[in-house]
Amino acid sequence: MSETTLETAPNRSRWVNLIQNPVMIKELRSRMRGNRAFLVLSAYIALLSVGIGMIFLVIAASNNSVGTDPEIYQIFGKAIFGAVVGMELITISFIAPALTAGAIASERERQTYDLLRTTLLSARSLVFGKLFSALSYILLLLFAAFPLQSLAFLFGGVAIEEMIIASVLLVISAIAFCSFGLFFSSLTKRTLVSTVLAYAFAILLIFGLPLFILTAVGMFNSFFFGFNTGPSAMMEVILIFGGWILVSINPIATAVVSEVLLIQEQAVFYTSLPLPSGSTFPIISPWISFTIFYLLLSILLIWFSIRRVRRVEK
Amino acid sequence: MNPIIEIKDLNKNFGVRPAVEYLTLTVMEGDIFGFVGPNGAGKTSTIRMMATLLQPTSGDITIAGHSILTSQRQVRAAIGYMPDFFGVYNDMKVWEYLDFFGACYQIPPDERLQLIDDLLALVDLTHRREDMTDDLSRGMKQRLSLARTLIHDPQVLILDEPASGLDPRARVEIRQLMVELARLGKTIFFSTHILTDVAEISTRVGIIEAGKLVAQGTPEELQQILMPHRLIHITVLERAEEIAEHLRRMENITQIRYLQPKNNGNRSLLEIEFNGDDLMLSAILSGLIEAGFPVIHFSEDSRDLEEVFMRATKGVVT
Repeated sequence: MSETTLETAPNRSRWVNLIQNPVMIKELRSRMRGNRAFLVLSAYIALLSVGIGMIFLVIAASNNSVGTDPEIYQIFGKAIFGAVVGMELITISFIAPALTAGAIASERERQTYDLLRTTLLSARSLVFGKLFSALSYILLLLFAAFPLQSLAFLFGGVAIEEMIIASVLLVISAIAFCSFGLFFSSLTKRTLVSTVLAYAFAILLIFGLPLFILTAVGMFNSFFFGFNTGPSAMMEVILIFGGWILVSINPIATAVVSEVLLIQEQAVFYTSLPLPSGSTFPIISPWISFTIFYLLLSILLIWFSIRRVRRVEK
Repeated sequence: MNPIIEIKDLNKNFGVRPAVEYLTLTVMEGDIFGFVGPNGAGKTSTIRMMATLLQPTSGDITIAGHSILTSQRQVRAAIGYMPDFFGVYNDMKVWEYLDFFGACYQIPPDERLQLIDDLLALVDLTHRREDMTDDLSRGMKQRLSLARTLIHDPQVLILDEPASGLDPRARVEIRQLMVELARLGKTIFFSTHILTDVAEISTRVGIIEAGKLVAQGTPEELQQILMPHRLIHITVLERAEEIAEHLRRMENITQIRYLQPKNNGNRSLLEIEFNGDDLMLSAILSGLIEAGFPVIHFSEDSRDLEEVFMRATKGVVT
C-alpha cells in the first residue's frame, strides 16, 4: 500500500504540529494526572539532596581547613556538580527506556493501536508524540534538579563550559535511551518484552560492547604479537583510537574523560594524543563523538520505529 | 443512490489459508448493510481491510471513491471505524477521550468542545462527561466508541460486531443509535452474528461463509431467493377437512399441513405453502369467507432471517 498518503496535513507548520501533537498532549495529561508524578519527582529530589548532603559531610569531615581555605569550597562545588550530574545520568539511564518501552506496545495491549492507525494521525506524529512526551518528563526531572546543581555555583569551581557539556550529555543520553525504548516498543507486542529488550540493548551497548572490543583487541594483540612482547606501534595507535571510541560510547566515561581534559588541558573541543613514535595527533573531545554517535543512532532507531508503525499488516 | 463502498474480487490469505475469497459487493449510500456470517467466516478480515489496517492479497475496496490501496488517508477521512473491542483509554475522562480523537482527526481545538457536547448528547452520555472512561458500563463504553467514530463526521461507519457482549437493553440502544445515524445520512456497514440485529435494522444484507459471499440483497429479496414459498397459518373452527379440500383446488398453493392449535380442541390450525403475491393471498381469504368457513385467524408467518441464514450457509469454517 502507498505510504506517502499517511503523512500529516501539509498546511500546518512543523512547530504547530509539534505543539499540538495530540499524542504528546494525551501522554503528558495522563502522566501528570494524580499524585504519582509528584511523588516520583519528590523522591528524586529527596534522593539528590541526601546524596549532596552526604558528599558535603564527607568532604567537611575529611578536611580541617573548612572555613579558612578558599580552595576547599571549590572542591565542594566540583563534588556537588559531579554528583548531581552523575546521579542524573544514572536516573536517565534507568527511567528513559521505561518511559518509552511501552509507548507503542501498550497501545497494542490496550487495543487502541488500530484506532489510532485509522485516524489521520501520521506514523511520524505518533512516534514523535511518544518521544517528546517522554523527553518532556525527563527534562522536568533535569530542571527540578537545577536548584541543587546551582549550589555548586555558590561554592565556585565549576566553569560554564562544564555546565554546557554536562547539559548536552544529559539531553543526548535522554534522547538515546528514549529512542532505544521506542524502537523495541515498535517491534514487539508486549510492553514487558520491549522493556527487557531496551534495557538489554542499553547495557550491551554501554558495557558489553566496550568489554567485547577490549577482549577482542587483547586477544588479537596476543595472537599476532605474542604474550611477552608489547604491542607494535601500529597496534598502539589502533588501541588508542579504539579506547577513545569506547569512551565515547559510555556516557559516564565520556563525562569523566571530558571533565579531565577540561581541567588538565582546558580542552573543550579537541585534544592531542601522543603516539608511540613521539608525535601527536588531534582528536575531538569524547563529548562531541558521544553526541554524534548517539544522535545518529537515535535518528536511525526513530526512523525504523516510524517505518514499523507505518507498515500495514500483511 | 450512489454506490459508496465497492468491494471487487477481494482476496486475503493468511499463509496458505484463505480468509476471504473473491468477495465482491456494493453498498449504496444511506444503506444499513448487515454483514452476517458465522465465527471465522472472514467478516473481521474484510472489515480490517476496509479500515486500511490489513493489506489484501489481491482485489480492491473503494470507499467514497477512494481506493484503500492508493488513497489510505482519504479512506480514513471518509470512514469511522469501530472494532469488536472497546479500545478505550482508562486514564482519560470521557470528554478527553473524544477530544484526543478529534485532535487525531485534525479538528481545530475551538471546534472540538461544541462537537464533543453534541456527540455526548447524541449517545446520551452528557451526564458522564467528566467521568473517567474506566467507570463507564460496557454499554456506555460502546456508545462512547460510537461517538468517537463520528467525531470527524465520516460518510461511512464501519462497525465490527457493535452489539456483541452487550445486555439486551444496551443492544437495543445501539441498534436505535444506528438507525438514528442512518437517518442523519450515514452509511453503516456492520458485521454481526446476531441475526435479530440484522433483521430489525438492515436495509441490505450480505451473508459470508468460509470467506465467500453466499448471498446478498435486501432481507425480503433474500427470503424470496432462498425461501420462495410463503407460509400461511389459518385457524378454523371445525370443518378442517372441507377447508383443506377447498384450498387444494386453488392455484399457487403447493402444500397443506395440519398443525395442532395451541389452545382448545375444536380449533384446527392449517399451514399452507403459497407462492403467489399479496392479491392472490387476499383472494384466498375472501374465498374462504364467501364459502362460509369459520375462519378465526389468517396470517402469514414471517420467516425470520435465521431460517434464511441456515439455508444460505452450510456451516463451513476456514
